[in-house]
Amino acid sequence: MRSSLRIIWLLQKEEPLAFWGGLVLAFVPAIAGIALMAVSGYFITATALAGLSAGAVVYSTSAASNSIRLYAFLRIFGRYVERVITHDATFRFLANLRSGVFRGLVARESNGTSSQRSATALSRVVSDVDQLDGLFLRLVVPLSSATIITGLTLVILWNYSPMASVALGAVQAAGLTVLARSGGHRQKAQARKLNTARDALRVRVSDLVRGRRDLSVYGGLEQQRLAALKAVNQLDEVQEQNDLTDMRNQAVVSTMSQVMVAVTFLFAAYSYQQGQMELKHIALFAFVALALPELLISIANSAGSWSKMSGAADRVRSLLTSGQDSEALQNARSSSEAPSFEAGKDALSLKNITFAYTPKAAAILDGVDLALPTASRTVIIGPSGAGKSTLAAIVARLQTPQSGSVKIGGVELNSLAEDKLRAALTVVGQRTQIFHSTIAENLRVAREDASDAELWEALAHAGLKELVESRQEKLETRLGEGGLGLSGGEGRRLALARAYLRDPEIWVADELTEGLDHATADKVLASFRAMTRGKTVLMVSHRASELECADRVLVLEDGKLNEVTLPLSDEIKGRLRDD
Amino acid sequence: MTENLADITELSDEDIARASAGAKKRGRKKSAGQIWLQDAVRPEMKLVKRGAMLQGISELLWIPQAALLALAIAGLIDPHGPGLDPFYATASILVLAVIRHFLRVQGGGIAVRAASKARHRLETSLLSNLTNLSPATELPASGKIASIAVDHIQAIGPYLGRFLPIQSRLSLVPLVLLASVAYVSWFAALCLLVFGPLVPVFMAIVGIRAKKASDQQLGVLADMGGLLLDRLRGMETLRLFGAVKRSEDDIRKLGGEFRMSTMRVLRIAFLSSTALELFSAAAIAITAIYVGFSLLGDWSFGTYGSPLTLAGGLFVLMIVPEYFSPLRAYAAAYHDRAAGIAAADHIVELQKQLENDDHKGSLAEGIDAVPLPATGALTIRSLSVSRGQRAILSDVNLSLGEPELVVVKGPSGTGKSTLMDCILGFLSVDQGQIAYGGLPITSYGLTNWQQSISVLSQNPELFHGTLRANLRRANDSADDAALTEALKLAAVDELLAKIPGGLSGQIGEDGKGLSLGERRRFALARAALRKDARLIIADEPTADLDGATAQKVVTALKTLAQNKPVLVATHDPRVVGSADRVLTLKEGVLVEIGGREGEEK
Repeated sequence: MRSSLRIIWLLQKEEPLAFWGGLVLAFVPAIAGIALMAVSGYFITATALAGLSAGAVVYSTSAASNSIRLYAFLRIFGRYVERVITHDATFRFLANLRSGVFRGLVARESNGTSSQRSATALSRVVSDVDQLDGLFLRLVVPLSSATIITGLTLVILWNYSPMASVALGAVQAAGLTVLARSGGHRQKAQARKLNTARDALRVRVSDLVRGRRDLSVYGGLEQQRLAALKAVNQLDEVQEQNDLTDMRNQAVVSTMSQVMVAVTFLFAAYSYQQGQMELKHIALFAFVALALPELLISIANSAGSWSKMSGAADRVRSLLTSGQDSEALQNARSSSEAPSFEAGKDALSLKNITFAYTPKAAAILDGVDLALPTASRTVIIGPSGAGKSTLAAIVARLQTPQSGSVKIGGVELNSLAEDKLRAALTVVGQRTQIFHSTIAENLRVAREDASDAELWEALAHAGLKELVESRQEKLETRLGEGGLGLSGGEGRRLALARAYLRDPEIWVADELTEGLDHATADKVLASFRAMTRGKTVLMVSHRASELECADRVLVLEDGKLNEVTLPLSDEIKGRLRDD
Repeated sequence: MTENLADITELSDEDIARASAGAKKRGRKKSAGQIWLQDAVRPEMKLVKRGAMLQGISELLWIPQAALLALAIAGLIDPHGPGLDPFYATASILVLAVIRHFLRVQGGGIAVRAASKARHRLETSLLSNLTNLSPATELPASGKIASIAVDHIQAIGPYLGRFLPIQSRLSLVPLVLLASVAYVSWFAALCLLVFGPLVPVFMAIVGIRAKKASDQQLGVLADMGGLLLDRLRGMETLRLFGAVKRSEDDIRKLGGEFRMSTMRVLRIAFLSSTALELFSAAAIAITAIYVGFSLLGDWSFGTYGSPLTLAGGLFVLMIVPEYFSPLRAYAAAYHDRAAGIAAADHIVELQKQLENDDHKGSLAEGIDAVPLPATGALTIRSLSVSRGQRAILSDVNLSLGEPELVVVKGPSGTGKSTLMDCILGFLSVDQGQIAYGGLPITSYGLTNWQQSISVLSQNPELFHGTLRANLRRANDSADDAALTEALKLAAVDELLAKIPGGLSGQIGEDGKGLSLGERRRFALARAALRKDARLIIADEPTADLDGATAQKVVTALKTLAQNKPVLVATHDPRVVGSADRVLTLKEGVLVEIGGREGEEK
């Protein structure tokens, strides 16, 4: 609930005009609807009484028809304006919220606190944020108009018959209570179940589609289908319960309106018989009782989703906080000085770095020191799992070491502004991430404003030009999910082309030629060398061919870095792939 | 989102059903989704109609309630006219209210359960379709399919459970209410008769545009889902290239588009609800004025001889809002229809793709599948495959039977993977034959065949779950000792120490938490576990492994090759060096260049 209020508060702050204006505007058509029925009922009774008293016109017909026209007008157009304003503001707010949530997800990933699975993360961002449109539209607006207008009506009707007003108010309050309870705690568990089932189904279906190759070989297809089916069963069951609750809520509102009419009339009639009320107001009460429950209809429609919204609000708020924290951190860094890469100084230096995946696990980097002079070429070798890639990730601030300091161009990595860091250093990674988009867009991830000619140049340097030229759509060729359509080697080359577009001072190559055949690997290495001429290079490798032209070779073993002498001893060569 | 919209619009487009019924006569084309949807929900239609009938009766009981109330009020005001005791009237109204509530909940329950049933059936059949598909079929992004399974099929629920019952009620309830008004005053009935159908006509014009806008909006919603999943997966790259901010902007921009398309739908929806308000408010106002002037005695028309009584007037005025109420409910649920149809369009599109599966022929499960022999030889004869115009494999011949390590060399993208897909039966062959033990592999039933092969793919797919569950996919009877042994064989047993919980430890989606080399070796362990495999196929098994580990993998493959044929696609000289036979694939042609000795020459 607190998160919901917090997000409503944010909305109020971002869109104050639409928020308060919309709220006030929402009262107009609601009041007009009740007034229209009340005046009509009153008008009929009054005319009937006038007719009975044989021609003595006690009622101004023109005043009545004027107010009927006014209320009808307010009812019709007030609602339209109110809705357009509130909805537009809500969606504008949600668009901002969505990117804030994305920022939060990225921030969590960088802290390493994320164990989120991407399919789940997706459904979080999309459906949680979408849920929140209801906070204002279906919680704040209907609830405040229902309570305030009911109160207002009661105050006015009090003058005519306190007893009948009390009856009216009591039934309305009872209706509100029933709805509020159905939207309350009991539902919360239900909503959580629904979310879990949805997430589960999404993940299972994603797994089924992406893994169908391995699954059909290992016979997991049927198992996976059954797992998905289980999620389906649960989803449908919870959804059915929800639908039934919604349906019952609507039935309650309708029944309540009949009860309200009957009870209010009975009390009004009693009031009249006791001489406490004028005769002509009897119909007025009955007709107000007919119109008043309309205020509850939209509450009945949304009560089922209140708890869903509050759960979504909790999650969204926590992500927003993460996002704000990371933004604050970046702002604090933004004033950092720019790294300088002068000859004779260290472009990159690491001091006493320790790192472990979890606090309990053994440290895989245990006091690593390393200094790369500007324009030097260093290669780190070591067995698989020794922490070479971790070291590369730490240098790129993708992982945070438990202790130690990293300096880039003389500036402490911790305080280096994000854009300056990314301009100064790039990793050509082990795992190439390819976006479901065109080749051009995939390349422009690195530099948004790169021209087509520059893209071609980058492709040529990475040895991809022929391949792209052979495709019909050239740069506009779409790449499939996870880079389907490009082989592992081609993906690696695409990553190289990206890095080339960035042209950073420090290049970190993490197993650059893995998965490439000999000839291609040589080509890639050649273009990598050409690209990085005069730059500072750190390569992480276990291939002999990558060691050529290295100024220095270090071995990472048991968490420590040790320099080895060149030329390499046979013992070390034996550990490398000598192709 | 869709359900939210349905509620937000509350009063939205109107009597499109009538309009589209008219349109049907004029021969307007229905969308593929619409036709599919009608078929898809047919089994539940009977239930829906029954539910709608109960709800309709409940709504019609308002007529006696209104009559009771009108008589009671009139009795108080004019003691000489017809009247009822207030207490008696109130009690009767309350009794009727209870009956109405009961009928409404019963009817609603039937409809909701029918919707749930339909949804369940559709989801189940989508899952079976996906399962029965050839894995080589190109499919839309997995996120998109997941969103069909989760969001789009769900959108059909409200269409069936809410919209259809209201639609079938719409043809009865207003007519009976109109008749009850006509019983009192033909003039009032005439007013309703004029205003009622005007609403649908006006709204139909607006509603057609609403449908279009709503389609667009669902499309944007799906795009947004795809974009987000894609960006989240590539988060690391985005950070490396400082493109996070830009992605945020992309997301905001798409959110902005979503807002605009949503507002387009909503503005239209609001406009049509404004039309509904206009006519319903006008009808109330005119009826009130008519009744008022009749009671004053100024007007004396619209009834059958005797002047309008106060009870009659009150009764008419109370029926008028209820006359518009089914229309209002219909309008509120109309978005359910639009969303249901738009969702159905997406489902149909996917289904078309599933049906266009070229490889279906090869998938046909042999009804009289021959049992697979325990041993035999795989023979490929004059195999040719082309994708579109390009020939990938041409006249490939290969025989594998003895335990041996066979390597297929060749630059990336020359068809090594295609060859493996053919052997696995994922791809149908254009020409030639793949046989095992003398019979075409299809005669064993593809599932049986595929599950008799151990595969180590280039991009091994690991699943969210424990190490044990992942490994047991290959052999569900393997005990922990066998699993550990397989991990050792693949030189990846250090995972047991690295992952908390060992075999019971979790690995994430996409094998998150494992390095690429670890995933590869883990998949090798999985492949090794399938003891009864007739054949082992490995695609680039040593990629991403350092020298020492690569050597271990080669040793493992060598060990496996002592028992059964192992076919490896690679260009790693270490693997090539240990091969018993080496083949080269060049421009679709497979040439044997000999064994280890041949390579050394």
